[in-house]
Amino acid sequence: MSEIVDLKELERRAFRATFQDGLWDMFVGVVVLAFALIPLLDALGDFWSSVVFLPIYLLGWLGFQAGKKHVTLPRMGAIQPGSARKAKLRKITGAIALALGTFAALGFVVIALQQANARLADWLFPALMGLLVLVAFSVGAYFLDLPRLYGYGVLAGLAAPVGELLYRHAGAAHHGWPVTFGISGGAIFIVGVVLLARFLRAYPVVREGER
Amino acid sequence: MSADTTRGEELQPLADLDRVIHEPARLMIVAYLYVVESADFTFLMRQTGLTWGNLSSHMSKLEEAGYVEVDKSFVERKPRTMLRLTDAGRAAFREYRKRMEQVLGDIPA
Repeated sequence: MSEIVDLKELERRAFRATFQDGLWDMFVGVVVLAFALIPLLDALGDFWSSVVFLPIYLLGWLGFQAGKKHVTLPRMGAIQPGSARKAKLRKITGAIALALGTFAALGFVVIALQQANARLADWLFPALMGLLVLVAFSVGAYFLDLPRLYGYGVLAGLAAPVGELLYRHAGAAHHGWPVTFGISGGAIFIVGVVLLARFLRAYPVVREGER
Repeated sequence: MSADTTRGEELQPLADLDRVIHEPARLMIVAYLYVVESADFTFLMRQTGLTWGNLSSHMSKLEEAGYVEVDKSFVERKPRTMLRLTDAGRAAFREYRKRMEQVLGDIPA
């Protein structure tokens, strides 16, 4: 017997428990759904339709924080992760920052290519965006030990290229984003709602000293 | 040296096991606290499946042994109890694992 208690598994279980309320999933769903909404507001112009992201994300974040405070904490309690997990969490921040930096750099490449070959650049942007989203979610899945994030990565990563395909071949408006990001974001959000419903049923509120 | 004496020596680590940690419920509590920096009472109750009273009683024993630090506070007028293993508690758990691995590893399958 090499391990009396499997501490790695125990730590993983303890950490994962904080993600079983579905709130992160719902927040990610809102973030992805915003990409479906933004193109519909293009009448506002590029700047204002992009700025609309901010209140949507802010509302999503506030809802997430309120949920953690009023729903999760009284039912599941809280932990401070150990040093190994904190180091992993620091790595994820660095990895995502690196991915975003790469994406920004690739953005410049796309603009340069657009000057040279517009048709290639039209496909390059959704492909790169899909790849970046897939990588970002996969990094999260790996460092957070949350395999369902790989699925979210595929769902959200496919949205831009499939949207472009729909736009090119089926005439979908706004590069197909309202449809594809709507489906991806909606699916992720629904997973969150199901997890939340299961969480609420499984864990009634506990008040210290009552039991 | 007789066979009985040898067997007695082999099993000596069992007799030396830390009884505070060796109790199954306390072993679960200590193991959970070992892998995190700190956890609150509710979280431990959920993860271990112990009732509030049971957890309190085991926690008192661990606190008496100097293995657990209890930090009681109020967050927005609600009581919150955070628990963490002390350095002595971490060392005791490491020692317990070592001894158990030693004993169980020596038993033929």
